[in-house]
Amino acid sequence: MMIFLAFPFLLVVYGVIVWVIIYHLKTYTINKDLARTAIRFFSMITVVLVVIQIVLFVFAISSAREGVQMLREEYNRAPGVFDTKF
Amino acid sequence: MTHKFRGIVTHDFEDFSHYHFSGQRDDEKILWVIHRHWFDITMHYALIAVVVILQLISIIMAEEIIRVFELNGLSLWTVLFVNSVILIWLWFYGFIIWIDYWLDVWVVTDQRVINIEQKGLFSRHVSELHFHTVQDVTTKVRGFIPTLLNFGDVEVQTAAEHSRFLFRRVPDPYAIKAMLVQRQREAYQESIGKEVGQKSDETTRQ
Repeated sequence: MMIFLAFPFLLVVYGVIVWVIIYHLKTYTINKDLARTAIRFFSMITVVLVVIQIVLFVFAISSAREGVQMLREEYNRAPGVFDTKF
Repeated sequence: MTHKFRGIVTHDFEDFSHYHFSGQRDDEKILWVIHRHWFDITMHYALIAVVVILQLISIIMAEEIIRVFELNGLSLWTVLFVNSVILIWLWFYGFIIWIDYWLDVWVVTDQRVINIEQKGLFSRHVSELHFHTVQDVTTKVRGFIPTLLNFGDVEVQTAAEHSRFLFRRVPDPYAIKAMLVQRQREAYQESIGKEVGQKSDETTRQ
């Protein structure tokens, strides 16, 4: 579940990595045309992957909430079975 | 017009007009641009491919894995989310490997050779070799796959203090060696021509 909490920080890390990669391609390339194409391709795929990840995050969080709700109902039905108190 | 040696594509000067490296002189023309052999990065991509295959297996068998390892809190969405996190890191890793490959380059101009060595994202080493300083050129092709795919190292011994200049895992090292020797000979003949010209100028002055 730590990964859910870390997700906003992960997004920031992705941003930094993307910036570093684009900066390198822009600054150090010897072929500007190819660098421009590479930046476009890289940005496009990264945006698609991040959007997919955000959608999956929303679904995963909601299903995790449902799971917690289920456990809570189970506990209320038979208290003492679980160690965790809700 | 394009000339093609095995593995190295060389073009006439016009084709490199859109190429430019930092420190390029106004009268300097790029003749060749050499990258490492593609096999060098294939191994990294093979590793990425293995991890992606494992990911696909874990997605297909997600429910089984949750049941067998008693991960009751996990849903299929969580498994997919974790896989997407791994996938994006693999994407970054793959792209960084490509950048490392693409920015690691030897630029041969009509005056010198520039070695731009990129190590990861935060380490760059740029060195240059003038043709008239070349003393000896050695080609090394070691192993079964390099022999089969024709790639290897080209080592240049120079008169400079840092006497070794290395083309690491480059395609068709024999063609590169031949080119370097030819350019060195031309540079030598040019310098002899200049010396003869200077001497004749001096004698006419006397």
